[in-house]
Amino acid sequence: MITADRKPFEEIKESVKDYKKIMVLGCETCVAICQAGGEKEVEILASELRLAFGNEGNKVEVSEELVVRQCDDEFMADPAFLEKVKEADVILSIACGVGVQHACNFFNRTITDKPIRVIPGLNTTFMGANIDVGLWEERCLGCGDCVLEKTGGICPIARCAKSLLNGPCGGSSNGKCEINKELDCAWNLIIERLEALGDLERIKPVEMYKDWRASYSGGPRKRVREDLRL
Amino acid sequence: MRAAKRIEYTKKLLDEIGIGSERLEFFHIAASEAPLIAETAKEMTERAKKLGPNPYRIRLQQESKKDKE
Amino acid sequence: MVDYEPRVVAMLCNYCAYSAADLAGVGRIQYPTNVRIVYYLCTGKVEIIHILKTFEAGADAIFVGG
Repeated sequence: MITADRKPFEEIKESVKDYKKIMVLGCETCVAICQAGGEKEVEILASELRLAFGNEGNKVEVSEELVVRQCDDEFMADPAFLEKVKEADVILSIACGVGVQHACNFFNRTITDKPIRVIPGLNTTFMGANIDVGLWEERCLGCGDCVLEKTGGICPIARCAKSLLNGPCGGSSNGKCEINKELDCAWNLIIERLEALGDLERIKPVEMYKDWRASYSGGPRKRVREDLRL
Repeated sequence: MRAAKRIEYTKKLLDEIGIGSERLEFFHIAASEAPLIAETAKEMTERAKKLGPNPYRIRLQQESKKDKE
Repeated sequence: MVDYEPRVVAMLCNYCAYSAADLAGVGRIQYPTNVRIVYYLCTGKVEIIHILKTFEAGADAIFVGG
C-alpha cells in the first residue's frame, strides 16, 4: 500500500486558516489501512480543527467526508457528494499525493461554475507493507523492471540503501546496513533466503546495469491498456 | 497498556489544538481502591478549577449568547 | 481564575476503576459531584475521538481510569 504521515497540525491549521467552510476528505484505501487518512483520522482531524479554531473565536464549519478511493473518478461521481464539495471553501484531502491531485483534477473537471481548492493534509511517504502492528516498511520503489525472481523475493532496489544488483557492499556487517544499524542488509537477507531455497546458483551470473528508463528516471510514466480504452 | 499509550498521544494533540494536555490524565486504579478514585476525582476537579473553564466551551457560550441577542 | 463549577468526565473501566467507584459509593466515600462517569467495558476502547468530542461538548477535564 501507499503509506503516509499526517502533516504537523500547525502546518494544516496555517494552510486552512483563511477559509470558513472546510471539508475534511478521507480516503478508505491505502491511507486508511496505514491509519493516516481513514474514517477515524477524518473524525479526529475535523474535531481538532473545530476545537483549535473555536478556541481562537474563529467560527468555522468543518464537515467530514469519506470516499473509497480518491484516485478514481467513479467513487467521487455521486452528485450529492459533488454538491457538498461545491459548498465548501476548501477541501482538506487526507489521501496520498495521488489522491489529492486526482480529487483536485476531478472536482475542477466536473464542477465548472466554481474553482475548487484542494489542500493536502498528509505527507506521502512510500510503498510499503504492514510489518507489525503500527509498523510499516518500504518494500518497492516501482522501478518498472522487477528482479525479485532472481533475489528470492527480497528487493535489492528498494531495500538496499545503494540499490546494488550484485551482492552486498563492504559496509554490510553482521547482517546490518552501514547507513543505519537498525536496517537489515538486503543482500544478507537475499543470500540467506537463497541458501534456504537451495537457489544460490541464481545470483552467480553477473547482473548487467539496470535500465532505469523504466523507472522514474525516464520521466513521469503512463500506462495504457489499449483494449480497455474507449 | 493500550489506553495509557493512546492517552499519551491524545495529550500531544490537545497541546497542539490549544486545549492543553493537563486537562487529560490517565490513572491506574484497581477495583479495591475506592479511596483512590475519590482522591483522583478530587485532584482532577481541583486541577480543572485551577486551569479555568475549557476555552472552547466559553466560546460556545459567548456565541450562543450573541445569537440570542 | 473565576470561581466556577468544572465539568469533569471520568472514563472508567468496568473491571477496575468503575468497580472502585462502585465501592466508593458503597463505602460512602465522598467525592466531588462535578464528576460524570462514562462506563467502558475496557479503557482500551477509549478512542481519541471520544476524548476530543467530549471536549467539544464542553468538558473541562477528563480522566481515564483503568
